[in-house]
Amino acid sequence: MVEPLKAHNLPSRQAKRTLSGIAAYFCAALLVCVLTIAGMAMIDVLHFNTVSVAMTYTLGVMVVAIYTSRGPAILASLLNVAAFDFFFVSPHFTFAVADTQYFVTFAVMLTVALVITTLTSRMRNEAARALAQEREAHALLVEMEREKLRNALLSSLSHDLRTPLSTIKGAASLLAEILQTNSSSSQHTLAVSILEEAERLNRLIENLVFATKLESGAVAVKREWVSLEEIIGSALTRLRSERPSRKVRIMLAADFPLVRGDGVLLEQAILNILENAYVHGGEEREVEIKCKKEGGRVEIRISDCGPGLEAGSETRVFERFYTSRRGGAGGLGLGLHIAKGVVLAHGGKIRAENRWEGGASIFIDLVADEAPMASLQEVMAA
Amino acid sequence: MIPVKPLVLLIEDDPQIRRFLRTALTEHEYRLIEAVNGKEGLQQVTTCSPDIVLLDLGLPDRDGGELTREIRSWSRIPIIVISARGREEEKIQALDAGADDYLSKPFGVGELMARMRVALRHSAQFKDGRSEPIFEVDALVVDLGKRQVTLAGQRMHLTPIEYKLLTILVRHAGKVITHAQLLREIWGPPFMNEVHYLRVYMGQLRRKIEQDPAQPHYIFTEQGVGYRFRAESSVNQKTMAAAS
Repeated sequence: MVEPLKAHNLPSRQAKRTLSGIAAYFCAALLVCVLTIAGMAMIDVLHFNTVSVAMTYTLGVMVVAIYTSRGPAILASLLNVAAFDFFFVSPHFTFAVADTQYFVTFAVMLTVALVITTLTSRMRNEAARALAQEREAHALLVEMEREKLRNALLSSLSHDLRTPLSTIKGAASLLAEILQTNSSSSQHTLAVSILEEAERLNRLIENLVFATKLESGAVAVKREWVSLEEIIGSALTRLRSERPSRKVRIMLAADFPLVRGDGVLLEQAILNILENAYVHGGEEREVEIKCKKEGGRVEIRISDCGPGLEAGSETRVFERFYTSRRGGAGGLGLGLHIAKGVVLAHGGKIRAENRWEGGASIFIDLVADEAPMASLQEVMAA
Repeated sequence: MIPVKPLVLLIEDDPQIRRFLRTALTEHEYRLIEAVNGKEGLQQVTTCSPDIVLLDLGLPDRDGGELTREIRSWSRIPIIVISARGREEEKIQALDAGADDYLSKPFGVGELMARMRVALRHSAQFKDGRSEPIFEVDALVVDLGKRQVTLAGQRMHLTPIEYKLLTILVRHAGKVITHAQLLREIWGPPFMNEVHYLRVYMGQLRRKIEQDPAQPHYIFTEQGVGYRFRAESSVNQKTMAAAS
């Protein structure tokens, strides 16, 4: 985790070396002023000739070209020639030129200055490109390292943890079966405890792996025609093996349209919401699932008759690792987070609300495409 | 006559899972041979001619789907594949390659025994060349000879496609049938990807035979894979669940 910081350090090092914007132009002009004063001192105090002054100006352009960009260097080149002409070429303090050979001096000064400017800026661009490439490669490497770590963690979570769990669950189920036929009740209870806890642990791992996959974008969302009736049905069947007595009321029109999405993912989302409703909805209380189509959208509402959401937790219930302070589930707080991830991956929306008659509702809002009924008619005719 | 204990070939690389399954299968009156990889497994299918194969799809040396196809090319032996939940693609591949059923890890012994019982029953029916002309589970009776369906004594009126759908499911009762298998049998190979036809007809059929189509009693959805018809009447199911 130290690596990415290094990558961020690279640009600031470069920024320190070069000036940019208006400041650079200002510095270029300032340098010309300084050089002009230095030139005057050279002529008046040290009695040098004008060639030395011209050379000093050219040196100045080089400095500007190295430390700023191309624009300020060109400005310095032009100002140099103008200042040289104005202050050092007779007649002094006018732009007029008495000796025409100075035009050659001006031309050489300007050309040399511009060539220096061009070469320097090209060099700098090369260096910057090399730096950017290096940075990009570095960032890519960091990302790859991170991805590798995440994948290793995911696969060890999903395989290395689940394999022993398979044995634990299987062995516990066999033990429970053997002990029941021998009717030694306390031993049987213990075996059932192992079995149930193995199942719970398995669900926690599954949720952890699923949430990590969703967040890293490693989940491919299929876009198939799926039936909400089937999805709700299979989610309930899976839950029924654990909580057979739970009463669920489903309101779904017989001609409810198919929805485009990933059946496996949507089943998981609905299962997580239902599980939540079972846990927080109070024992022996009914859970209600209501589906309706409105315009281009399909809404699934899952409601319980429990104490409802804690005030202000309507959005926080979808946060990762959020668990109610009331407790109860003993989960990781990933169920609704996963449901949200699945719904968002389908281009839908999810929200939680308290019902006025008591209990909480989770609303899933999905885009409803037009089902391909025309092609179905053809098949029916065939 | 004492019935011969069925011989199970277990192809699984994890020693702990093998050990637990060894105990479970012995406890349930099965004989067992084991293989730790695909190569060994394939060898034992030929040399030991087991009655049923339990195949883990995460083998180190062979792709499970490919192995299934190879066994299926010369043998009708029932194959039950085992893989983790969330690997639906892998299961579909194995099922479409000819596997009879699948189990998601982790599973309980009751679930495994139910799957094996169904697979062995279907295999026995296939060997005898006989199939039950009348199928009965709870209130539903499907008379394949008379092409007649009754629910709680009431004659049901099904469209030809609904009837075909129901008979395919009933013939394979207890086993999972993939979407591709159903589409191929009902509409033919060109419609293998048109899963929405299936969903629409399945909805219609369920509305006719299920009390609450969203909480089905007869036809279960195996999300992302296919459908499974109830194997046994619910009374049996309950005593089974109690025993497991």
